[in-house]
Amino acid sequence: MKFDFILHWLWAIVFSILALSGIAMAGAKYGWVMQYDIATADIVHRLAAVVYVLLTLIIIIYEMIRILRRDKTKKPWLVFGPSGYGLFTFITTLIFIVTGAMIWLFMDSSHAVTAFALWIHDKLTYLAVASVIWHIYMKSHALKWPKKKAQKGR
Amino acid sequence: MFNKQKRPFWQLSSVFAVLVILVLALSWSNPSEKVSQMDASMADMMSNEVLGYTTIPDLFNPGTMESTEVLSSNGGHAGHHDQAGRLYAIHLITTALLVFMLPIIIAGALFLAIVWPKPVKWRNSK
Repeated sequence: MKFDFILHWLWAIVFSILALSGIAMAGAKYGWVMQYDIATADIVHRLAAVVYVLLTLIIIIYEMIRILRRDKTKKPWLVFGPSGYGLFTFITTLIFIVTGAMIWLFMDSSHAVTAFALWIHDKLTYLAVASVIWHIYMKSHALKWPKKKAQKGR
Repeated sequence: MFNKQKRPFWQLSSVFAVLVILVLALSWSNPSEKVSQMDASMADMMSNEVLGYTTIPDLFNPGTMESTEVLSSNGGHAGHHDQAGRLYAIHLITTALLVFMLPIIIAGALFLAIVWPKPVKWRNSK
């Protein structure tokens, strides 16, 4: 199994956990997503956020190594890329991480910073979730089980 | 009407739709839960309450606002952390990891932002 494929699906799982726990905390309107258990949603969101940041770091280092080695091979499953949806994911991820870190670190010391970062984090979530749905729609052929493709090939 | 190529998407969507209906049904059937009447999200509420009178310099001066509230809330948090030692330890470890990884990510992102526009020409020519 390819490294970029594993990273892609790990990323998808972690993003889903973050989106669900984040939406559950976003407001009372969406609290039902996690049965109004905001405390658990907060812990889950923070733990998943660390994994998300770690995955981001791994993907960035992987991409840097590829560039430094002048690796020309196409990596269709790689989460970040210099154009298209890869670039969009890269930019939104950086904004998510920076605003998330601002909320995390300044929650107790500055309401201004927290409010500003939280507003961006919140609005970006809706944009990112909508884009993920569009991404799944566009790449839905990849959801087909590979065995079926092999059988058709015969 | 539906494109056959997109069938997996609609299958996945129907699975999620069933899950959402199940969670909603479970949520509404639980009498112990009290659904809040608030419709606004936490971010909208905070931005209405705080950002309305916040200036840009306030964003760069953490700790200058609502000092009394911060002091009292910090006191409360300290006591809470003592009670939940394991949670506090997890908080410290995850915060340390985040603070350690953040500068590396920003540096890596800067590197990619500089190098990414070049490789297309650079890789094709090699």
